[in-house]
Amino acid sequence: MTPPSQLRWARGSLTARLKGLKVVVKNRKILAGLCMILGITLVSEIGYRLLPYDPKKMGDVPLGLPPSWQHPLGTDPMGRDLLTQLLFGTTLSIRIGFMAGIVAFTIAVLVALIGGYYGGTLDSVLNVVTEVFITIPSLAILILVAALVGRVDIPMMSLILAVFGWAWPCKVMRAQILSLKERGFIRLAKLSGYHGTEIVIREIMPNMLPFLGAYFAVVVSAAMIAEAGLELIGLGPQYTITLGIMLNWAMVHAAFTRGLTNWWIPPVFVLIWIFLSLFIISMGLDEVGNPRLKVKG
Amino acid sequence: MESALLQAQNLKVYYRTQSDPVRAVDGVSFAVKAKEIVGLAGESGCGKSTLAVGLLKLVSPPAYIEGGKVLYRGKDLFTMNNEELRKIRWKHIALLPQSAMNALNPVMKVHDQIKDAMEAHDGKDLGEDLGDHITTLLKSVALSSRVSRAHATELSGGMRQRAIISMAMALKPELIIADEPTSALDVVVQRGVLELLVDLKDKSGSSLLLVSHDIAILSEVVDRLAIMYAGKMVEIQDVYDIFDDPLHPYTRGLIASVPSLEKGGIPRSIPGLPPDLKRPPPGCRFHPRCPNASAICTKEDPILKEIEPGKFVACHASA
Amino acid sequence: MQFLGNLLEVNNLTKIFPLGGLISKKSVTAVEDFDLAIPEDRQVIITLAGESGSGKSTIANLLLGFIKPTSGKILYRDKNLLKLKGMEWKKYRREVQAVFQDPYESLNPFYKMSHVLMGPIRKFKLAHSEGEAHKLASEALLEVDLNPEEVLDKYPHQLSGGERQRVMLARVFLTRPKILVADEPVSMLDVSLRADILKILQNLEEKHDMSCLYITHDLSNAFCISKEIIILYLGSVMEQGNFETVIKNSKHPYVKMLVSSIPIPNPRSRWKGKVKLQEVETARLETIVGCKFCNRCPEAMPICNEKRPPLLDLKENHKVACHLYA
Repeated sequence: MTPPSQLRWARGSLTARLKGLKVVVKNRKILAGLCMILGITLVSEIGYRLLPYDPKKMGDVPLGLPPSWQHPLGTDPMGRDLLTQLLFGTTLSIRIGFMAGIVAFTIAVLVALIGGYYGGTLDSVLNVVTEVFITIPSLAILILVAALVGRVDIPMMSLILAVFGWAWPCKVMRAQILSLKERGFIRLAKLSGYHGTEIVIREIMPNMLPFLGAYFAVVVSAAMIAEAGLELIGLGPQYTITLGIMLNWAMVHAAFTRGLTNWWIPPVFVLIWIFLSLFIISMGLDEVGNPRLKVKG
Repeated sequence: MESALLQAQNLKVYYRTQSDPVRAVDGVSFAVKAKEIVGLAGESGCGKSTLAVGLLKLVSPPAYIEGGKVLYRGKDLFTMNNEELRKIRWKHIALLPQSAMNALNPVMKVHDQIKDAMEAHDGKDLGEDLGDHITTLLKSVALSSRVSRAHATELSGGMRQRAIISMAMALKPELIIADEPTSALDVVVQRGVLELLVDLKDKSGSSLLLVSHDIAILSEVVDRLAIMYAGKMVEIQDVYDIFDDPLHPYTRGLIASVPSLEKGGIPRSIPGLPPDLKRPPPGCRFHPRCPNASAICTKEDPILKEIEPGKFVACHASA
Repeated sequence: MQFLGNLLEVNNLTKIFPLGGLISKKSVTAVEDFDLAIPEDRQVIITLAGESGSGKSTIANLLLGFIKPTSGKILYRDKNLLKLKGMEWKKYRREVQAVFQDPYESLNPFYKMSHVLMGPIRKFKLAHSEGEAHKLASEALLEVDLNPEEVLDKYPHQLSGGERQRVMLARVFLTRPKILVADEPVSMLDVSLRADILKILQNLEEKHDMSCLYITHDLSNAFCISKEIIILYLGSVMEQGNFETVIKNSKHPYVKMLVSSIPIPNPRSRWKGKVKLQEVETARLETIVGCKFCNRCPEAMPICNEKRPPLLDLKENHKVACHLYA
């Protein structure tokens, strides 16, 4: 008889989750998506430091140069190297987007779990709050807040984005939890003596993995779009460079009409790359969450 | 066979897979005569449902017809063109597939669905007579005309099944093939629906092919019983004869495995499991589980033979 | 510490579900005035039978503590279920287990089969080490004729329905409950597999000190292993008593109709006469004051429309709720 060590078991909830993570990382799509996002993060983080130029300092380099060996993307009318701007801006955009995404996602998950699983008046209250946040024209409020606050810095930007990013995924997650709650294995877990929180972590969460991943991708992408959008119209941490702010500068200097494609296409491309990588990760998580696709049964 | 309404000859229906095909119906021959009720019994996976749709060439991929013939009143259904076959279906032979009652459109009124079914298969526009026609139809299945204005979701399971039956009867078919028509219904409703089917069959002079895993239910209404196992037909007999003296060991095992309020006690189940239909065992497919298996059973696949008039069995022991 | 009263006692259990929103007053009485007693000193398999809408699954959920009664009491070892706390609640959870109709539904598709067995082992502290836990799980699987090495490492979708249900029963062997609530344990299985499951249940009753509440709509299967039956209709008990007596000597018109409609695998014992089907849906009127069956009853009398028939005692534990026997 095979000794226990050779049989993989579902050990305590922590180990089950770690084992889950291992499976997650082995999936090809997740790997691909992760490589894409990590790749671009690394390239930009390292890249801008390697280049000798300062992305923010005006007059650092000659103005308005077209692409050349020294300046692969050229320079902008204020005398800043565009490639350095791109790389630096990417790191900041990613940082803001992910911070906003993580905060929003955490709020969404907590509210969805507490409301969805425990129900009752608490759920009704949370539900109303969620609906309010969904209905509020968030972009308008975002613009208002950003305009009122004046100087917006990076943490504030993330917070603002998070506050309006959590509500919709929360609603969808809650619906999912409500349906999972009725499943037979929840009843069996109760009969085995498990309590609410344990059931949520042990039984419900793993089944939400693909959805969680997808929602996270959505939340982060939404945050980055909102960020780019706000910055494009001039609201945001104006003192620094992000992808959106790059596009803002480009717009202000009529780069689109002047055909200065070396200026505006790269940041757009990077944004698309990021969205794509998150999307592929969520597709991979979908496969993981569904063991039927994993093992030929 | 004379006076056979529908006759399957060596019908083979397989399912395509990435490896070997699943031989769901592997050379089945049997017939349904006029004005009779035939029961087709077997466990899940024996191929009876595949056979039911195969008879009307209604198989959809990955299933395909590998071979054999199905004759309706002597005409080969498989060599007909699609138009001719469509006319035969529903007008002459109606199929009530499994869970048909769940296939009713929830947002349409029953009245409209019956109308659709009739127009699709008959082509005629009945105009003003339609309403009366439908009322009569519903009445024939003991449903009030008020039901025609209801939506499927407002009706109970038994009522939905009766509505489906009324649709099948609309064009007065000569043969009705019903696949598990009562499996999800309550006991009393189940009896009611079956009695209704028999009643309709008597009134219209048609035949009924009832497919079910429940031989208790079949024994209540059928004239003849056909037993399938692992894609093969193993026994066909008059229903009284088959219970008095089952010829095939599987039939014996099947009857013994059904609980009965008459007998009590836990019934004896047949040991083992049905075979993998991708690679069935050599010889007789039942031999691994058969208490009477002998050497020849492991080598030669027994053919369904008529050992006495009306008694068919595929077993080396009774040859 | 000897306890020789009733392990489980249910008195006047009623459950009413509200329908619609805040304003609508419509409701459904799923269960009405239900009584039950399962003694400690002997083992019984009691069949709780009824067709759809009879309330039998609601009773299961109430007894398992998943929903709360509207009125009436459920007493476990003489203590109100709703008031159990701490050790007493743990004991109840340990001693009252369940098997459900759909074994696939009862399994978390994310985990392997070992998960559903390790759960109770861990929570009820049935083992003190990984090795011991594995041994217990394996023994439980062997009791239901399953090979642990072929089962534990597989996902739910890789096993057949019969195997999954056996694993559910292995879980029962593991937890050794005093009462098993079995809600349609065989109805989703092939006929040939049912006998094995019934044998396992009988074995649990005879050799493992376990009583069982066998909930089903299929009396033929229950009759194999159960000696007592309670027949429900639309939430109320119509007749109850010794199984054989209720079947062979049915008193209630509904029960007579029900029993006579159960198919017998014998063409010489066919249905006699015909049943009448309903022409139109009759709404479940909550304002029915009389007998719930009276609109379908061939023997209805005027009083049946006015007053609910009480559960009357005939001889030897045989009870009927029908005015014909008042």
